[in-house]
Amino acid sequence: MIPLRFKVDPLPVDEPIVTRLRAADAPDAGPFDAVFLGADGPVSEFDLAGFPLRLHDAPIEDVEDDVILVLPGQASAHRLIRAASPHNTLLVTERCDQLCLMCSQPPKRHHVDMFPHFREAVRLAPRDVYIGLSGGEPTLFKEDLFRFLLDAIEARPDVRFHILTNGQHFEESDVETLASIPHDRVLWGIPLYSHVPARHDEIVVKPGAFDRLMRSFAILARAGAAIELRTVVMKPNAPDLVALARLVTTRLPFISVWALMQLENIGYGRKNWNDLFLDTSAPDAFAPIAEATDLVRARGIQALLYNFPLCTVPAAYRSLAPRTISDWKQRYLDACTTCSARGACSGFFEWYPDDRGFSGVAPL
Amino acid sequence: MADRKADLDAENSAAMEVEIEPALSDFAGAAVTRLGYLHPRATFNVRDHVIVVEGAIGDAPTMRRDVLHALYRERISDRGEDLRTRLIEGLLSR
Amino acid sequence: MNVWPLKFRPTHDGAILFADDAGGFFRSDGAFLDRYALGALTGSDREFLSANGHAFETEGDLDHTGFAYRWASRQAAAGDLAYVILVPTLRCNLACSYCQVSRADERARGHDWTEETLKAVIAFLDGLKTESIKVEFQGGEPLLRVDLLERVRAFCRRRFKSAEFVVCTNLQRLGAAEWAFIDAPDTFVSTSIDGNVATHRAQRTITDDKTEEFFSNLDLALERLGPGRISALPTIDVEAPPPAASVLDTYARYGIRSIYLRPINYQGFARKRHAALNVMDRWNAIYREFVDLMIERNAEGGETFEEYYLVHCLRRVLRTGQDGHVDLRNPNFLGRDYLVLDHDGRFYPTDEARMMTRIGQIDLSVGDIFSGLDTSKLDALNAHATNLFDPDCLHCPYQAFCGVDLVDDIAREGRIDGPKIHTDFCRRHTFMFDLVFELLYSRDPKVRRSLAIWAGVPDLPYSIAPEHA
Repeated sequence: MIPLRFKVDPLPVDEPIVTRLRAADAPDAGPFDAVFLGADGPVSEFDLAGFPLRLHDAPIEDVEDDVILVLPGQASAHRLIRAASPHNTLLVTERCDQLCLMCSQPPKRHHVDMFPHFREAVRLAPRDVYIGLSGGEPTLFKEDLFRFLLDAIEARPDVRFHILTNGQHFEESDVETLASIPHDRVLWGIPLYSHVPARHDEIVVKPGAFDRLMRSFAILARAGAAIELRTVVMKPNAPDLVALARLVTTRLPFISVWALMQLENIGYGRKNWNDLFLDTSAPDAFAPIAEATDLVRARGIQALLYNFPLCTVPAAYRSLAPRTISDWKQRYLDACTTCSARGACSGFFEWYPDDRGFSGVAPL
Repeated sequence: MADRKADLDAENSAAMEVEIEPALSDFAGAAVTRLGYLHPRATFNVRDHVIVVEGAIGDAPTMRRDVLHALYRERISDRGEDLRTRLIEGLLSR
Repeated sequence: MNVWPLKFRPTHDGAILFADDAGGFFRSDGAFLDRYALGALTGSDREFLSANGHAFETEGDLDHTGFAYRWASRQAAAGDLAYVILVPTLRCNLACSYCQVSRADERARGHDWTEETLKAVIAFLDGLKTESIKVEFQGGEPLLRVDLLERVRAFCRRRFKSAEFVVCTNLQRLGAAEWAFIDAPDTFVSTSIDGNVATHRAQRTITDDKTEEFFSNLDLALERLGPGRISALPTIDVEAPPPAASVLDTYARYGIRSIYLRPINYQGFARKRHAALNVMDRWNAIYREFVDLMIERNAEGGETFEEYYLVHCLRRVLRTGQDGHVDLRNPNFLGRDYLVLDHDGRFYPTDEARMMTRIGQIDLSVGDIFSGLDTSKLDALNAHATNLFDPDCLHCPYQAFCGVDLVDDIAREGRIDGPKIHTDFCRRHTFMFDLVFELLYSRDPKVRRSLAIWAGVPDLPYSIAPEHA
């Protein structure tokens, strides 16, 4: 796994520091940059405005141009933005008002306002970076989120955002703000699990969530927001997929893409794995996914399969399954060693349970 | 059986009557106007609660259906006009 | 619950097809029609209509918003002028049987752009707002003036960020200069293969030498350009159509799998004579035979065929935003995003308008390259550019998928405000959409196979075509 934190020798500071790790010869190093001095065994030493910044197991070739956050008195530094990765996600909060059965990151009450650090991080981010914002539920702090987004897209015209939200908090009064964000700068990733309101509510464990979500979709549509609709395919909702596809074509024709997703075996997803996981590689199990994607794609709406290993997908649908598992939590199985499709494949989550997973894993 | 006899009669006499349901009576005039150019070789007149078709009727059940459908279409578009107008105005005002 | 107005039409097999203004559709029966038209919907009717996107509760709710979005996406938005059809010469080195009006003898004088015309064309192109241009060279045989083509192309390559060129050529006499022109990767060839060798010869090339010249040039062009840069279409004589199988075989031999079948477009007296012979019905029967054969062949596996316009109509039924074909879109404003510029410097809104003017039926030119576009004439035409309010189209379930062809209306009817239902445009497209829906509701696995190919998905589920009992 790629580390998202480094051990750091605590800095003598009172305030959190966001800084960018630069090579020794970086010609444009600025006042907020930490410039590489040299390696001391496993420790990389940087000059941070006169202070020594010592990161453990962070070779300069791996971390160059990364943006990190160092908190006062803490022995670890957070890698906010990894320059070499297409998967950078900033955690806005750990609070959430849903308790989705498959949640990979169960919510906590605790909340620290990280926006000031994110603002710095975006300013220091490498060119053209695509930044994810996640949680918890980011729109629980909607006003802060909007202010951050508006500032960021103005300060950095090259940076784009992908925001995961449960869509429970958009109001009519947000239309103007949302509409002021250019369509191609922010993609809202929003889950919908069923066309049956009660089933969606059961899965996200919040009564009334479906109806509230439908209201938010109408608001986002009027604002011209870009939407990635996300549906984790599980035992309880797989039979609904075709009807859900019809809902997508009639009520949600404005979405940018519909992502059908495989389950992640962590958080509540691990706890509920046996009740939820659908082995889509088993005979006929893929059929509702095939029909749902055929339906919306024939209607001109893009559909993709996220987190599906290619060998578990029928050949005709493999082109819909891009590599989506983030690099830091992705792995391959022994069976993958001889697979010719490995370079194009999502592979498996780090925490994929070999003994309770797909029956159809085989090298292609 | 009764229907078939009525239709045969209609063929023979080259005239037929199609009853207008009360819900459709407001639309008989518009339907007759449209039927007139859809079937230029037949004539259509509203009389009391019927539409009288004369001339080249052709297949009687088909003509009966066409007359009924013309009435339906006028009613549907009349009932839908407000929705249509509001939709277009709503989109144009954005 | 509010139900959006549904248009309906009986189908060939006794059902009734319904569609709304946003292109949502389903099939049901006469009993449902009675309930709907008389305002007596049942609970299950309402449930179906809501799930299938034909209803909403309150204005601005998601059902209403989704419908409005789909409706709006079906309205064609004409962008800047970015597509010009240029006719640098009317002269041609063939004398095809069906092309009397749009050509002049190869040795005739006064049928080419003058130097002044060329300069005015270049000044006109220079003044366009677009950064991306598509130029189609037509004729006559445009390659007879490859010198003019070269100069236009060289200018466009300099002036625009992206430029694409299409030469509509008979591929007859190709010398070094002509080959050099079509060899360029930004240049595409559009030619005619009239079905099979025998028909091509009968209708176009007449002599052995010219027939041989064409087919060997076609081979050479495919070798040099690859099949991706060459398209071809057959012009079919309804009175002597080539066998469908021989046409598919011929096209397959040249690696061309998308065939745009077109009937001979008779003009003037020829049109009147052929109208009496019920050309439309005969053409539709021939067309159907081709489509059925393609469906058979596609079910056999291997390389597949499509009829270009049928696939376009299918996609217009299934999807929004399919406005790339200027003959079928709504509204269809003339003189906006594309224009035809004739050999004498006159502008026309469409190629059909150019033909009609040439035969003296009516003057549909809209200005010229020296004095500019005649906007008042265009405005008068464009007052009828939408089918939204047409009293016939308003009742037609195909309205959302269909379009407007003002020039065709004038060509056939002599007026643009006559009943649409009597126009050739209406009859042709009613046939096309009847066919599309017949196929969509077919249970024949072979039909499903072709539909899936044409819709670009591995399999086309039956649920794409909803039915309400």
